[in-house]
Amino acid sequence: MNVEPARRRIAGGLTIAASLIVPAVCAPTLAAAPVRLVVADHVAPDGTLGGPIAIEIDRGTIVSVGTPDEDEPAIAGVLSPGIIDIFSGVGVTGGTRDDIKPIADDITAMDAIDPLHPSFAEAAAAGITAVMVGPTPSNPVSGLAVTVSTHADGGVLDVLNDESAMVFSLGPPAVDTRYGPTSRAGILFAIRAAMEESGEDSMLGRVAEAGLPAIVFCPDGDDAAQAIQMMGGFGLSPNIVHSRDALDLSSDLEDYEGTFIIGPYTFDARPDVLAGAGFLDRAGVRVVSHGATSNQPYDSIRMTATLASGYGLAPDAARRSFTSEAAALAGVDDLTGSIREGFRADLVLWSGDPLRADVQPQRVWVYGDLMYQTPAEGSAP
Amino acid sequence: MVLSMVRKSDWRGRRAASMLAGLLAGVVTCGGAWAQAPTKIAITGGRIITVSGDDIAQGTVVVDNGRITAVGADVEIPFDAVEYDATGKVVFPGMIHPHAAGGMDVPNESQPVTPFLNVYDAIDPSRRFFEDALRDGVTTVHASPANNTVIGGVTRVVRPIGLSIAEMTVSADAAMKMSVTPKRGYDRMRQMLELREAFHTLDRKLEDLAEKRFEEDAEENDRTVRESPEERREQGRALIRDEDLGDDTRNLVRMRRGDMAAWIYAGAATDVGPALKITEDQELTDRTTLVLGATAHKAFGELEGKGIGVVLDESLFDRERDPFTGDIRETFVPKKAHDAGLLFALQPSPSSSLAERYLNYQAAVCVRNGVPRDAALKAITMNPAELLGLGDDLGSIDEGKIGNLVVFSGDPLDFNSWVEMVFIDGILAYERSKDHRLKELLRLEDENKAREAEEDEDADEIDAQDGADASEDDAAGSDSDDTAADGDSGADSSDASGNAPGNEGGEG
Amino acid sequence: MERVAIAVGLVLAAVSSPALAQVALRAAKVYVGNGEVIENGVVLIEDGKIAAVGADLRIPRGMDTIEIEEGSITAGLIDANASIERRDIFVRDQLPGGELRRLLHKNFGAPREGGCDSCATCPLILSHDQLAVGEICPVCTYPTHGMVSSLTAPGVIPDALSTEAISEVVPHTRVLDALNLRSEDFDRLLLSGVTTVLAMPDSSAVIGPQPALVHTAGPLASRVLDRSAGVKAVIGSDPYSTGLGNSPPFGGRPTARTRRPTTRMGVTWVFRKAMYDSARYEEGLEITGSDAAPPAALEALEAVRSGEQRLFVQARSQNDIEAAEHLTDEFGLEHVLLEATEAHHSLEALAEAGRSIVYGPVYVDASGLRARASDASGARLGTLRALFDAGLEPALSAQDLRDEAGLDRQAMSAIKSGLSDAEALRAVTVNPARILGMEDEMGTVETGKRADLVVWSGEPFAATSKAMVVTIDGRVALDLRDND
Repeated sequence: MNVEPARRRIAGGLTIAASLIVPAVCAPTLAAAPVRLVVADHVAPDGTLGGPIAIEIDRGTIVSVGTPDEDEPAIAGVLSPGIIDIFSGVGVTGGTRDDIKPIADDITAMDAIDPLHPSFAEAAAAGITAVMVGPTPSNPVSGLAVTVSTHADGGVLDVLNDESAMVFSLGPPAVDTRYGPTSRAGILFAIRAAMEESGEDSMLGRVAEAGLPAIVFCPDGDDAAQAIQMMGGFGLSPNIVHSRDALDLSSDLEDYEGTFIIGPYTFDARPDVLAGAGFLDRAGVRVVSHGATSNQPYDSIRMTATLASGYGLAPDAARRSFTSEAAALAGVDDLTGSIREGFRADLVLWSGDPLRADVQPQRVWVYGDLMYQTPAEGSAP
Repeated sequence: MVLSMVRKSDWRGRRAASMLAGLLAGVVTCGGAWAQAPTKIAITGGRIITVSGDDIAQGTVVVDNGRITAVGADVEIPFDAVEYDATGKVVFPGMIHPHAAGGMDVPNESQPVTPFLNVYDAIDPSRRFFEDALRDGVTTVHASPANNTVIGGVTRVVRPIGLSIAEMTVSADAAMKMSVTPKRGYDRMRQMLELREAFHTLDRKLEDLAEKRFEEDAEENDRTVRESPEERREQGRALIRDEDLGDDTRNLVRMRRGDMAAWIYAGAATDVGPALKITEDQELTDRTTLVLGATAHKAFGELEGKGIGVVLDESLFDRERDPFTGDIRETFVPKKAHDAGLLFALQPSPSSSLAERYLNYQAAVCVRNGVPRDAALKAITMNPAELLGLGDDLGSIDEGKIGNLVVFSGDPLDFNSWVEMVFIDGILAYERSKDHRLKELLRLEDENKAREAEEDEDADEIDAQDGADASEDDAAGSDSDDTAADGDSGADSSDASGNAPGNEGGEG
Repeated sequence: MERVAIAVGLVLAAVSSPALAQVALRAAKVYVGNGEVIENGVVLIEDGKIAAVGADLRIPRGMDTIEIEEGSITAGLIDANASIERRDIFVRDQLPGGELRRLLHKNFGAPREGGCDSCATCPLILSHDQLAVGEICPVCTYPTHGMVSSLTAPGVIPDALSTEAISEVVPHTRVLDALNLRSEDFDRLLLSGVTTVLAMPDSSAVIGPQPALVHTAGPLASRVLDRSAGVKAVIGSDPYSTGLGNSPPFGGRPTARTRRPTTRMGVTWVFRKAMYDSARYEEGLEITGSDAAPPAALEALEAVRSGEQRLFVQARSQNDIEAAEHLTDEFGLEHVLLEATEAHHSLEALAEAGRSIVYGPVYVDASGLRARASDASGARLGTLRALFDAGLEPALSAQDLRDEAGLDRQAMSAIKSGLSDAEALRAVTVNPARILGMEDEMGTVETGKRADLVVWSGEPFAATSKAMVVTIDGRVALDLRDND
């Protein structure tokens, strides 16, 4: 699965310029009139392919969703909500790792984001319209994750949620050999003690009391089981970042209500790992595909979903795993992640079903702005 | 003294006497001196598990000159036989350790192809390995180079008793040990290359030798050579004498012509095919035994109907993880071997903490997991005897076989049974009541104190009596420490065995 | 004969099946556990408890019956000093079986095949030289050269994440937090007829984490019987010689912050200081010194000093056993003695104190955890016999040993070395239940107790019989009847 370097370069270099070539669809934020977009197929909010669709976009928002009129010319391809990249490296400058203290609940990833970072445009070119950026999980409580759109125009961040989730970490990354904790028992003790003592005014207290979601990095399958058990003690269902033993865990998740963040999947992974997402889905656990970090191709989110569906994840769940479920995880599912009236016009026009490996984004809109268009479509042959 | 437990000195004295007797009689045979052992013994009253046939609920085994002369319920005890009472106990054939690399300092040379090596040069008779074997009821050990080799050397079947290797030897040069599983640091291709190369080199050397012999022969007889080179080699081959063969070729030639068996280690299923190919190429099929690793059971299909016996891995279970579900699958290998109709022998696991070091326990594990009782018992007696080509001499309690016997306190498959006595060639080689090491392991501190108290003040008789009673009740044999309690039964037998045969031998 | 393989997966499937409200077990004998033996016994189970036990009881119509004609029924076995592996290493994907076994067996006196060196089996042997001694190799997950021979034993991966290493005194942490309740180790315990384990931490800390009392099968939500079942302390050489020794857990040189005791005196001192500090802390005094235990640890020790929390003390050699007696005496504490390898030397002192003891395992040549302990060399097969003779009613533990050395086989070995059948049964059922304060709930086959039961294929600890059916809280957790 290659991303053609040429396209990436174009996208990264001068994205907006390309959009000027297609005035009919180009709808800058300030455009007065609504734009009507008719596409042959689309990804419905439930993840299925819903057939022809006609939507109208006004001031960055989807104002109407309907079926096209008869004989109305439709653009070939599939219209889907934009990809939401969970634990993205997009926009991050100088890293997000901080070892200052084990319970770092007052750290926020917002402080690490550079609005002018070129990776926003690169991500948009791959169909990513929003990114959740989190702190590196190097402390038992690592800090706040935030969600911004990739429409970082003119150095102003388009913040979707500045309190997406609190990030926790178990296992070796959270270990501090000099100051402790050095063991999982010690990590869990530290988290449990901190959560018990935290007041409602602290960020950690808001996890325990006020419904701020928790996302736990679990290097090992039993880390995940422990995290679920420990958080269960506070009446919470944490969201889990873990892939390897997902298949094994799926049979033990009866009362679990959180989301599993799986991936990145690669072709050389073991089949039982790749089958994990499907097993989780059948066990009633929500699944979000996780892919791109700063040193991986942006398409790896979609590759994760594609491989997962190849190994048993239902296609609709696979499509939801990088759109609506990801939006729910990031706490932005009232804004984006589905094609609905009143939602942000964060859209991607694909050349086919986005689960297919040979499909590429044709056009990408973020908040109604056309951020990317394939060179083939934009320039004369 | 270490040796006291195995009665090595006694045993040796009698053996020396027997050899002397043999010399006096003018019968000087290598190893045949064994048959001259003067002892005549009768083990009476015990349940006899013959292995070859039905059990005898209460019977007698008579051993004369090292061979079993009578077995049965109504056997007349010769007037001059030393009797051992096994009433309430079980008489069982001496067990056979089919493939032991213990009892040596380093069981593999670092060089890959070493057919000239012989375990004769490595066996250390004073190793605790042999003492343990005897204690555990093993009367025959097939000492072999270990598996980290290509061609490892010549093996030897020994008794786990004796002060010299000559004295221990049952059958010298029993087999050639080879391995198709890569030696450490090798890959499979290199391993097979070395193995094939060894036989190619052998062939080349033999051809050269045959030609040379033919020419020498022609020269001596002043004969004109008209034969083609092929014919010359063909005729010359017949002229090769054993003394022409060098160290590097002699043993392989002897293996090929049938003087020695071939024992081939196949550690994994994938090695079984190459092992079979080597045996077919070298025409060794009728005398090959495969020593298998735990995973090799997957190739049992290839072995069915080939008549090749196998020695199973000491770990009786093969466990593997299902690559998809992650579940562990367990295969009980002896059951699979039994169902495949293979002739198989079990090995004890010396690395186990307690139970698996006993061969009879390994057989019990087989029964627990579905192998029929008689098949499990054969796998530690008859089967290894047959694999070693000693099926007529060892492995069951039958007339004419060598008097290697174990007296268990109960059924051999009952883990609570202790090896009470071990007879090798009809000579008492081990007695539990005289096993000081075992006693030490089972010793109770307070028992010692009780004995001290008894010695110190005779007045306190009641306590000491209680102590003795209590320890007698314990099946563990902690009572054996208490010489006073044990004296009656123990002293008789030891006197009888210790002195009578020796005297007799001396007179003879 | 392709289907010899028994998939442990089948076992798990049985576990997750819905609980049978009512089951009847029938076998030739029921060993009640109090010395009584019921011929043609029937055990009726209702709502996870034993509803009735007797000879030829009438089984209500419609009740599921599990019958093994030649079999026998005992209470589920209890291991009061179990080491649970976080990962199952009996089978590892990257190593062929023979190699793995050689790797595991390299501790023993007579290595096979010309000696074995765990590094030799690692595909990246060269990487070992680049790691610090004792560091875990990322490929074979074994610690590197030098430490290997003293560390590794079958069933044991010195897992740096198992015990908190920031202090020698960590009684505030819990083993449950490091325990993988889905570990395949539990399946193996089940195959040995073990229904309840006290999952113990390793012995790398002087006052270690809190052990957890857990069932070996059942729904995860109800597996844990006591998440804080005491505190384990160690008197002996382990805190400074085993595990990762005194080096920092992830490599590098020891620093003032990783300073630990390096002698038995130091170990005892750490124990004593922690107890004193805890008392001072309770009074509101400030605790100073670089080696002071964390405040949370001192708080946790208050429960030990007040007797609310059970104290387990691991001690193997005679001097350690006696040092443990003195130390707990000094603070007016009771303790449960673990391992007690050389207890035969200290019978009088132990009998006088009426000490609760979890002995074991029984062995000739040390294997498992024991193999790395130099201070466990004085083992005798007769020790357990002696403890029974002294009236101490000890429990028996297999620790990390499984399969042919598991707890049922330990009981078998104990019988061979002098215990009566009834004593051996008590040592793995009633006695551990009593020591753990669970005698009202488990340990015997009596009405009203938890239906933790084992149906053996023959006599309970015979070499030729095995656990065929295991129930935990009335649920069938293991059923091997169809596998034969």
